[in-house]
Amino acid sequence: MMNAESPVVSPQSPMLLKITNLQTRIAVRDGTVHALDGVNLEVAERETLGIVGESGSGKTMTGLSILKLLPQPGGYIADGSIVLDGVDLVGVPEREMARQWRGRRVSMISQDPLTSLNPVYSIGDQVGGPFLYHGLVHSRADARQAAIDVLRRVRIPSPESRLDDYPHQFSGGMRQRVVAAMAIACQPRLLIADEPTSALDVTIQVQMIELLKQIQQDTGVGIIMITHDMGVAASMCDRIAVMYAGRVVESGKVRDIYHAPAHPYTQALLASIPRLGQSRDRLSSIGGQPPSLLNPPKGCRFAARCAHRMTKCETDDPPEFKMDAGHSSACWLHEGAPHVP
Amino acid sequence: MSHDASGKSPLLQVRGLQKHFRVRHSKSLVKAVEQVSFDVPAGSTFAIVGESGCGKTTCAKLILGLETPTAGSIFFDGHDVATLKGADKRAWRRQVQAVFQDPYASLNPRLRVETLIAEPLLANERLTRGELDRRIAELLDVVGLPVASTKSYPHEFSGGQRQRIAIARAIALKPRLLVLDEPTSALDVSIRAQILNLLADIQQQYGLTYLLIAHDLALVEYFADAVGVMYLGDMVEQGRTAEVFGQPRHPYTRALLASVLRPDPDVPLPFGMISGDVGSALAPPTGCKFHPRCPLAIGTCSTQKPGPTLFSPDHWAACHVASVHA
Repeated sequence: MMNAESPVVSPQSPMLLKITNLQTRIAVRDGTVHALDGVNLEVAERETLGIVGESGSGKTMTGLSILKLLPQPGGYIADGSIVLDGVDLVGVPEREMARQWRGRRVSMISQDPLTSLNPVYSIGDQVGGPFLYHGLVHSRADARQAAIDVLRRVRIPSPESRLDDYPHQFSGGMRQRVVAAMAIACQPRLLIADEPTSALDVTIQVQMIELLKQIQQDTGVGIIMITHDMGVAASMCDRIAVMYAGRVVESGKVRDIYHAPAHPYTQALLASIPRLGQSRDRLSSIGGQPPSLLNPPKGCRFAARCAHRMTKCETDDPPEFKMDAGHSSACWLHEGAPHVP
Repeated sequence: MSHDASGKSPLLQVRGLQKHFRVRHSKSLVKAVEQVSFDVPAGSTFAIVGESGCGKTTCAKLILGLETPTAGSIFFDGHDVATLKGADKRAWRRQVQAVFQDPYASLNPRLRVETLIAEPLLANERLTRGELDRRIAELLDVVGLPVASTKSYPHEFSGGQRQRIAIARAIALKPRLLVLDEPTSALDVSIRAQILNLLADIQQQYGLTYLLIAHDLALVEYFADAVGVMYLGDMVEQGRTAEVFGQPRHPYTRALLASVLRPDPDVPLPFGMISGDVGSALAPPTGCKFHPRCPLAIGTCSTQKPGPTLFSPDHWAACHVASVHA
């Protein structure tokens, strides 16, 4: 079973990415959306961090902030740092971002392989593109060869014969492999996978996760797995960050999150999913809906939906309290536990 | 096949249902649904599961009367719907309603909530303004939306609330059968449970019968009394949910169940359970359509299409290998 063999990240694993107090805003007609409000995250080499949460919680914005591909016009990073391999990406100018970082040292797999591939270019051109752009090869012939090699690594059968095919000639699962091939072409240090399996059928989804784990074993790439699917996150990640309304409300090792969730939101989220083999009791649900980020409420953002709400929650922002080694929860219930430094 | 415990005939009976689509400018046929039969007793939930392209949505469309079958029959309350005419046909259409996957696409963005919910009522019933307003208020209350929301437009609501509006529309005419095509797939996890609980309440309250189309097996196990598993247009296994999920007989059902990623990091991944892609419905494999991906395939599987083998009065599977253990 690969799960047991998957490399356990030792505390000595070199830190690859450290995000501190990230504030991402989007100026819109009616005001400013506080898309991310003080996000702290870390990813080590050879580690998979899962970011889970609902739509609008800031999962994708976190990924786009790292790539500095925020929606334009309007999107900007107001404060905080994103340190990848010792360099704070927030200060890196766009030209350098494009040439030396994006697609080179950090790349992304997005949800829908059909929209991330250009329908009018052949697979060979698209997969060979990053090699030429980043100057790893200097001729089209070499780019073709490099494309064949990387397509073989994502296990596209007989890649030589598929190089001149177009995206519509591939099945959904195969297309997502092509997108993965483009993402790992330049051997990035960090791979952001934004819902990479959501558009795939269940039997194909497992194959995709298997492939990502294999790539990680071979290359030591750090992965940020953005997903709303608690099953995908459980099977793929070493650590999990749970996001709610632009903040990380809980983070910890995958077993801590699933077996000992500390934050009321994480607890409610896990209780609300139907599971195979569970009795047919009524599902516990979370009433209400997430707050608008245009005018985020004071205090804890989950307070309005929380079963453990106290007066304090409505006025004071909970800091991240340390539960255990590497396990923290931003909830006043844990007041008394030490703050995360 | 299953009968209502009371001996009454089921509300919905599907017999040998088939739908072939002709491909434009070519002689080829897409056999979207082949030889599908099942019964749904009144007040129960029957689910059809399978991957994309297996024919589950085509089945739903056939039962809603949005497509005409190329063969086979659909009996609603004992009547063959193909033979219904005039007032009977209108009555049948009132009694079968649908809730679709995407509440962003299924609601007209230019209509206010009151108009959206009034539409089916105005088209089918003669109501005074006062009666209409009362019915709309009642429906909003049933689906848990504030009565004050009648003047709002769909974009003012979240996904979960929109799905509540869609449900209010669907139950406005007091139907007996609701076809639920992936009713929660487009919703967030925390909202899904709200909608599922609402659907369960409404079923209880009005004695509704549900046909659920879904790909989420945990949802199906939670929600459905009986289930049919489809693969490339064929029903490959069918029976009471507890039996099919507890003792799956078809290798495809087993692979599907094994592929469900559990929200538990201690459950090992089902690596290597199933290989390859779902085949093409345009050129499906010969014999058993699942044989190229099947870990148990034997010689006959590629040449002969397996018939159903009964494993219990309420459970069958179409598999040459599984039939040996019947």
